[in-house]
Amino acid sequence: MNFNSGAFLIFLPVVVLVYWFLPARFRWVWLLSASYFFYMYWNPALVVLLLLTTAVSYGSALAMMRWPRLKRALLVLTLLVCLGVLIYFKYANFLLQSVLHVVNGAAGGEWSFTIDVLLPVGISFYTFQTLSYVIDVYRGDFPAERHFGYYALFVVFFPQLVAGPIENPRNLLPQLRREGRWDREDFRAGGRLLLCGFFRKCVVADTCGVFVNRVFASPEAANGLAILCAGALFCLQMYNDFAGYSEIAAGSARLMGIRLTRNFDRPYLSQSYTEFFRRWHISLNQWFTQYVYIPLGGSRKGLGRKLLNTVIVFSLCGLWHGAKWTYLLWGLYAAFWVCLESLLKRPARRMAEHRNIDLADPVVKLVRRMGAFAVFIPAALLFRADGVGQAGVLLGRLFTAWSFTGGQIADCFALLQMGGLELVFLALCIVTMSRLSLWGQYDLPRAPSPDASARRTAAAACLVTAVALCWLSLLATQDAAGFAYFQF
Amino acid sequence: MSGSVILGLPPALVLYAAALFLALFDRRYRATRGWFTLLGTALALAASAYSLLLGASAMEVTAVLLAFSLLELEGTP
Repeated sequence: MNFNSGAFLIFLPVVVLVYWFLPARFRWVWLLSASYFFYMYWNPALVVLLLLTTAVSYGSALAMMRWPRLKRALLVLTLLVCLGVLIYFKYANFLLQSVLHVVNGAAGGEWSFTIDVLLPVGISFYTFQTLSYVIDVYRGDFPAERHFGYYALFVVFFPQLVAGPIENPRNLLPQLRREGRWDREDFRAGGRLLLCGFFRKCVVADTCGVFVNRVFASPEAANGLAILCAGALFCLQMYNDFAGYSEIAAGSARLMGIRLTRNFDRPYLSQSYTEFFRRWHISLNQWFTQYVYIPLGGSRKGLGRKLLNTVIVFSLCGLWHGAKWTYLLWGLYAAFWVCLESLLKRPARRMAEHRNIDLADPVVKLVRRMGAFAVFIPAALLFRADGVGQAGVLLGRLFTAWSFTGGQIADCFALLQMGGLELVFLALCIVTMSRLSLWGQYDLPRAPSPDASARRTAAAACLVTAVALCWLSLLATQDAAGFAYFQF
Repeated sequence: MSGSVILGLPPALVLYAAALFLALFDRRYRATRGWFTLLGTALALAASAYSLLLGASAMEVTAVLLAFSLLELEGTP
């Protein structure tokens, strides 16, 4: 079930309520059952794959502890099974269509064949999470979990099952085993995170999405300004959609006293592409760093190898998002900028010192942030495009379809169907979003006085009403979208 | 702003103005331990419901509520 569905609004309170009423030693059973129910709500049959991944990784880790000499073989077996399932369900059709395209082109044929396969929700996330567990056991960084129930709960824990964060076993497993006590601060923090998450999703992301969809529905009719606006709005949409999900996940878990890893750290404050990937989807980037980049040699084997490793990691990261050439191009675009920044980092520092440019100066930081954001926009267009053809049209028109007249601005806003109210609304959303970034902190100091407490309550009441209004309004117009990262 | 429904509803404007007054009064004098703030919020929500019933769009009402929430968040952690 989606987080922004009526079913979840009933499911979550019931789960939390029963969780705290149960004796501590039975809570894992309840959570495990609720998590499987949550997953099977989409399609009961797909739970078989989840169980297979769980069983193989659990058995493999225990076998590694029992027979250390077979560790490497067991690791390879686990990788083959888990990644094999992921590759089949996610990439089989993509690979098949790509091969057929080449064959048809070479032989002049018109063969077509597709495999009728349904992409299991969350497969990328739970596969990577189980692999991180098995690899950590293999390396001796973490002992194998003997209790199948706790391990299964680690894999299927519903707040983070389908769209992350990808949890490290060191963080989540001990918390699932712990017999915690109800804490009012956890409840308040959970409520705050839920409110922030739903605000980001229902008010900001879904509203931006309405405007973005209008441009992507007819890219040939869009001028450069409209495409620029759509790219910027899509950056906002994707960030708030995904960060909103992560905050809802964190809030849901926090209501039960469980703390998930922080997955976003204000990424659009980044002053470079490299910094962006330290702030965006932190759990995925840490996963690729620990389990792909560092084993490939990282930056320890010279500059050339470092650049190659960067290209490999970002290409895989792009493809992780889905079986589309545009995702691969997105990854290569990111790799290009990260490599360029790596090469120019020292010369740029020397130049700044030579010209007495203070990099900590607020104006310099602002310019760098705006420059970085400008670089994100073509990436956003690549990511959102339906295919390479549409991406080509959008990027081409982004750089060429400019006339610098008043008519261009009017055409842009006509295509977006954006008037004064919409602009004011978006501006308020952006300011509120930045203000709420403090509330999205996992710990917030208690209100220092009754007045401050009343003001927080007042703000929360207004925001809850705003969220409900936007959600109902978008539902009524069928513009309410599911969470984008569910498709990965 | 053209097409604004709220600006054409005097009762809604009065309620919003009263809500704003109460919120600012509480911030300035802090004499009521936050009760004026909560009362002001109730008035703002009532004005929003009234506006919605009389045809204001969800976006317009949400924009006003966001402005109120920003006012309350300003200066608080």
